[in-house]
Amino acid sequence: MSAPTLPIQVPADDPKRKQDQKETDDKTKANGEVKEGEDLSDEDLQLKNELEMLIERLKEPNTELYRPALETLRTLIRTSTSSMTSVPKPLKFLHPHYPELQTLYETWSPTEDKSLFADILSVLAMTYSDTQPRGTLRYRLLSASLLPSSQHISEPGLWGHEYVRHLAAELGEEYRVRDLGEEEGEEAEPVKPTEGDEKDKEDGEQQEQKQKVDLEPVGTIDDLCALAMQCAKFLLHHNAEPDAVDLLEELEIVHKIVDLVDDNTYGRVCQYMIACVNLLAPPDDVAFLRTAHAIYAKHMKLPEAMTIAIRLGDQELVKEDFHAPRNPSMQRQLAFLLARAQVPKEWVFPEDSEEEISEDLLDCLSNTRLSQHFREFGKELGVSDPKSLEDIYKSHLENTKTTTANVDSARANLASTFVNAFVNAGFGNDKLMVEADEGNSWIYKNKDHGMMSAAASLGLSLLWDTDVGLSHVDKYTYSAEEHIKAGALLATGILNTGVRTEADAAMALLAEYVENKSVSLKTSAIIGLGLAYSGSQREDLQALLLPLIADESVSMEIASLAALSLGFVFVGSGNGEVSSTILQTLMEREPKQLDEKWARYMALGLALLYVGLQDATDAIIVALQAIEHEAISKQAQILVDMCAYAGTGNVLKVQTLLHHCDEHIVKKEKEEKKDEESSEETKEEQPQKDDTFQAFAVLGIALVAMGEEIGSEMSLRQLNHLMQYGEPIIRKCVPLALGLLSASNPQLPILDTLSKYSHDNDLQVALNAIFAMGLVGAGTNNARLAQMLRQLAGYYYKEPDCLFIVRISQGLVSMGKGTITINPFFHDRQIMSRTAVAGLLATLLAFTDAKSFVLDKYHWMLYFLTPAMYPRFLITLNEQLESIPVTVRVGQAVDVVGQAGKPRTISGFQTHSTPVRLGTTERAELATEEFIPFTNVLENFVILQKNPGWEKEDKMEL
Amino acid sequence: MAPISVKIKHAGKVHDVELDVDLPPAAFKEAVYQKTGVPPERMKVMIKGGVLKDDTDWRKVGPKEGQSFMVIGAAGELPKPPSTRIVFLEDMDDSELAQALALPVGLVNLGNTCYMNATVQAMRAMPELQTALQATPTGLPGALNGLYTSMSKTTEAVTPMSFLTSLRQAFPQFAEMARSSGGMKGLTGGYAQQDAEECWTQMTNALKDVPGLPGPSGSGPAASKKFIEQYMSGEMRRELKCDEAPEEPPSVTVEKVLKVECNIGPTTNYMHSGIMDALDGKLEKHSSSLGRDAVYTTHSRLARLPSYLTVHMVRFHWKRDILKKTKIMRKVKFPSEFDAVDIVTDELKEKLLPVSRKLKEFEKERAERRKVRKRTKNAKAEKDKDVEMVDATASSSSGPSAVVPAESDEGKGKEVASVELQDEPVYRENEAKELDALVDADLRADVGCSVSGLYDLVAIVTHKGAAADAGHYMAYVKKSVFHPVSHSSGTKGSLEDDDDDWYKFDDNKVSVFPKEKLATLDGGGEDSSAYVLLYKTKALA
Repeated sequence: MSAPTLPIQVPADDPKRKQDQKETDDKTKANGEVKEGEDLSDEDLQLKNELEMLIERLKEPNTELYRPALETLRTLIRTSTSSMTSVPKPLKFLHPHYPELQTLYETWSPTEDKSLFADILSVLAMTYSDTQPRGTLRYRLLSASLLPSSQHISEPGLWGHEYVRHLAAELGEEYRVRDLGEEEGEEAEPVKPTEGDEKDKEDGEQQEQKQKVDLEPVGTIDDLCALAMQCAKFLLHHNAEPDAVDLLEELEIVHKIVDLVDDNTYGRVCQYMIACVNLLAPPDDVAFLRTAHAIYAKHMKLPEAMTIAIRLGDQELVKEDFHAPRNPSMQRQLAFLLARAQVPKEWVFPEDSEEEISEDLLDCLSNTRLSQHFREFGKELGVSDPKSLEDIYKSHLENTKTTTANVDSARANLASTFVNAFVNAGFGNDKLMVEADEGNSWIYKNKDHGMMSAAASLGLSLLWDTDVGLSHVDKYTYSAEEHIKAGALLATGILNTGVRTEADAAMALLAEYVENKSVSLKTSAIIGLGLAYSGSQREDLQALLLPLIADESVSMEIASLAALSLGFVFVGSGNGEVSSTILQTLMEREPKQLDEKWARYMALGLALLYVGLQDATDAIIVALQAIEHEAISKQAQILVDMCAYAGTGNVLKVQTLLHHCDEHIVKKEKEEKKDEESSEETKEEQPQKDDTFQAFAVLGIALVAMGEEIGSEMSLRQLNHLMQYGEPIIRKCVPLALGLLSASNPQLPILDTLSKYSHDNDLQVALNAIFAMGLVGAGTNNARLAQMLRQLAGYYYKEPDCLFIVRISQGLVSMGKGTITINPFFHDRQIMSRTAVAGLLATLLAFTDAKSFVLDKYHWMLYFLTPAMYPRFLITLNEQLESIPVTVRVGQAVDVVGQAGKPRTISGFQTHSTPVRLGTTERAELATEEFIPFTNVLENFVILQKNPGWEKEDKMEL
Repeated sequence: MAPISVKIKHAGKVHDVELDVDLPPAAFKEAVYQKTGVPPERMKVMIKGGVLKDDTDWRKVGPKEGQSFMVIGAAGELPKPPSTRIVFLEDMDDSELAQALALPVGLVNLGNTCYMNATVQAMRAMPELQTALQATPTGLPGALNGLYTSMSKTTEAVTPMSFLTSLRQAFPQFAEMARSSGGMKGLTGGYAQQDAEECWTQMTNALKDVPGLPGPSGSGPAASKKFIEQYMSGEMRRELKCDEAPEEPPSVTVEKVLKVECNIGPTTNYMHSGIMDALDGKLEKHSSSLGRDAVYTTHSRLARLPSYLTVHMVRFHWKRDILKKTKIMRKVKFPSEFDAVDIVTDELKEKLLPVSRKLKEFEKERAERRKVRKRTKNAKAEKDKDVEMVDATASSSSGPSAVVPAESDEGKGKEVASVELQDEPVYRENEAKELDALVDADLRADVGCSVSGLYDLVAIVTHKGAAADAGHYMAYVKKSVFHPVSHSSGTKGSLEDDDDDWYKFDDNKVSVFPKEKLATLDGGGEDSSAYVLLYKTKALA
């Protein structure tokens, strides 16, 4: 949106100079024209005289001479060569005569000549754009209106590029002014956030000038649009795609660009439009996406179109795009994309349709081969061998030597459980659990509820491996130990995360335990189902779990986790039934129950339903306001709001959330009250104001800002302020927000900040900062981070809680031995995975009150990260879906939107052979012409087609 | 209905199984069992809408020819819990923890009692003392025994109140109040800071009555000796010779000493030279033969070396001109291994040398073996090592640098390894036998004496600060004292290197002190400098 203001700004500068010139001209005129003549060369003088002669002619009563005079004028203006920096000579010389020509024009009777005259005046008006705004446009419209309907006014492009740009700028202004006029009163105008004050000022000026000049508006809005289309067409043909898009956006007819673009321009137009989306206020952003989608669909760029369809979460578009291609390979490519985005299969193949799905396609859609490909990928990279704990801790490099105790510490072992699980995730060959010697399983090195997490870690180790994994985990479901059994159930759910099986094993195995009496078995089954079917929107799960939420006799823990589970399953679906049930529960439960720590998960479950739905949440927020329980009402509102705008970079939302964090006074009172309480002088009358919502608001800032680079950079600053001036509850969430903002993307400034926070006096802050370091470095093997964490392990060796988290972070950093990412953005960071967001949020929420969740006996909540975990690989497949090695260049992604020509999209690249690992900010491109990929973004699985035109010559030369 | 052929998927494999729709599911499960080995009772067959139950009717399921079912279940035994439950750190109480961790505990400072804390901690470096103390339930020794016992049973810092009381009872000078002349401290009037060395001396004195330990030969004459006599006191043979009257026969005195002093003169840089300085001196005294005061040379040498040799750095001296006790800040280097051969009498030297020479030889060999073992271990580790992760190369930058020399030596290491080293204990045993044969018979009979004259530093009491009456005392004790390295198992023997670190006892704070930093205790500034050093004779095996 900043772009549209530019064309307004630039010409405003030039005429000023001219004005000065004019003033001096006036002065010099008094002294005689001789002086002016001295500066001019002979040719210029001749031109000047000629122009003045032509003007004289127009003033003469002889109407017959008008036309030739005007035409000569026109030719002179059009043919004048000009540079970028100076005003064309004819314009310069005609400039002083503009006012008199204007008066002259008014005297003419409407003829075709007058139209031509208006056209010329329109050009001249460019030099007066500061004193008489929108003159160009006005005369242009006048000129058009004077022509008989049979005739068409000449293309604006004939007057040159500058004229079109000018016209485009004025079109925007004019449209805005008229829009205002209709609404009566500029205050009512919805000020677009990014345009800021400038515009207001401008509007004011315009208003004044409008009164002064008092011009009758010429032409209708339709005329404006028609003209805009002409301009846009011209701009598109002259490599000014952004200008064209901006112009149409200002006139709110951006959808019309679909017909204007051609094969040469659509790519750049779409790129620009998509880049704009983050900066647009609703509903323009959706309009842009839809337009871009229409363009891609029209040009049969289906992967790109599908990308947008997924982004929009539009079931119809997805289905349309999916069935559009006739080439089965293309369809499979789209299926891979859908599988990565965890779009439910039913979207493209509705259950009622009897259509036969080919097995290959189904495999692609349900990620069946993910495990197999991932392990092959690991083998190629040489990381398939299991890593031991010592490989991760590298405790010989730690400064302080911890006491060499031969005793097992349950805490340390529990941390090791998670480290082992995260590090060897997906490979299914870790030494502690899967490949443990008989009777020597690591499970028994854990205590009580630790056993549950240990058994569940099997699921992570065997992640995505539904063939072998399920049987392996099944052994433990017969255990006499309830914790192990519960862990095994959770493991069943975890290993099914992100993959769908024909047999629907998770449902078959877990459903019966949902009704189990044992709380731990029950919660495990519920969470297991939630993880396994995250994003699947399965109706049968709704039927299974909804009664648990609705039943008021069920404990808050189970009801909340069921809500969360449904949140996972129906993430971003806006499912009305689930949301109304949760809402109902929130309204009807006893206040005491809603005070429980679990309530936040109930609210999160509700919020997850609305991930990415933006303003579709208005109704539910109003409903939430009606909840009597003030604390939960506020928490839920914030959660829903922030989820709805997750990854949009919406500045207004960030502001609102920031505003929630500024409440100090209430808290101070509360502290006083606390003091009173402790001294037991007076019993408190008012219930304490709950401040949990502030924690969520901090996370919300990161959540909203994370999709967009500039926004996330700005939010870093805001978070920094919060860290300095915020209350403890805010401070402890700031590191988490940083972790969310930059998940699996270890940027140095963030690492430095977190490193600083990790030594904070407030242990809560330090703890969360350490965990955030794990998130930021998750699956990157970042050496610097590993070193920092080792240092922290030494620093906190006496703080078991901190040490626990340090260990876990160390495990996260080496997640999947550096092959797995938890960044929710994929496909060239264009699509935000909703399930990943759900996973991350659920994990972070556990850390908003770490003491009662993760550090208590609910450490299994760390497995909430699983939906966010995905291999960051590029695997190239041939059309038979077999992996084939191809050379690719991998480098840092470069933003090329709006750049002229064909700039390189990556920098500092290296050439590898696939399969290859991609960093969060990296991009790949094929280094050979031998193949043509089916998708534009080389990421995840890419199907390649032999290039028929490729000749082997190149190889011969080698 | 004729049986149809269906496929089952189990653990990544596909099997063909016959399915007779008319038979109960149990029959099918049995058929699957034949193929997969999964016991039917633990077998889960996935059918549409759930798991195949024993009462499910196949006809309702309606299987088709060639349809594949997923079978879940593991063949073989169920995982069993280990027979012994694991006891966790978190489950243990304090005394169990102390036992498990063997982490030494600190002592609470009861108001300027750091001198005592440091002394007590340093004395704890003599395990024999603790054994001996158990025989004396009363008096100061009894109090010390009680203190040591309580220290070994907890992980929290111990408050040595009762010991302090008995110490002050036994030696009233330790109950001295801080002089109020200082003005600053006048108000508080707490107990004054004391000299740790004095405390050390007084305590050893108080322990004089602690009975000695019996010799290995059982009841001998040694049994009648006291512990201090056995383990801590040496015999000093002092020869006094008059320089001015060479004909005067040197007078020889033999006395028991509890410590060796190290004088710090303006040129003393090493502990060794300081000790020599103290042993050989000149003094002026009345000569009976000359009938006047004459200069005499004293030449003192130890005729007996105790197992525990105490070296006192004479850092505090009374400055007559300012009438104040001052501290000598000079930096004096002390060795972590001390060869006492130079400070013993010639007769004793004769007895010691064979053992000491041999022991030195063996030490060299041991070091050699250790190196070889390390190398072969590294080489082996190198082989087993995972291929480094691509991104992790930087992180392991310190790793490779450590590994690289091993790699270059790998060839050598393998060669040596091929010689096939025997287990360390085997060597040790042989060495011990050989050394034992060399031990002088007299020394062997003398329980608690040093047979080799070679010592290891085991404990240090340091003083920090500039003034003699102020400052802070701390004790440093070698880690291996608390965690005796046993060579009984091969793996532990190779860990020997790692146990060179020390514990630092700063009242109630106990921390690990790396061996490399010992040199910082040499002195030369106001920071902690060694004051009392306790050397322990090297073990033969």
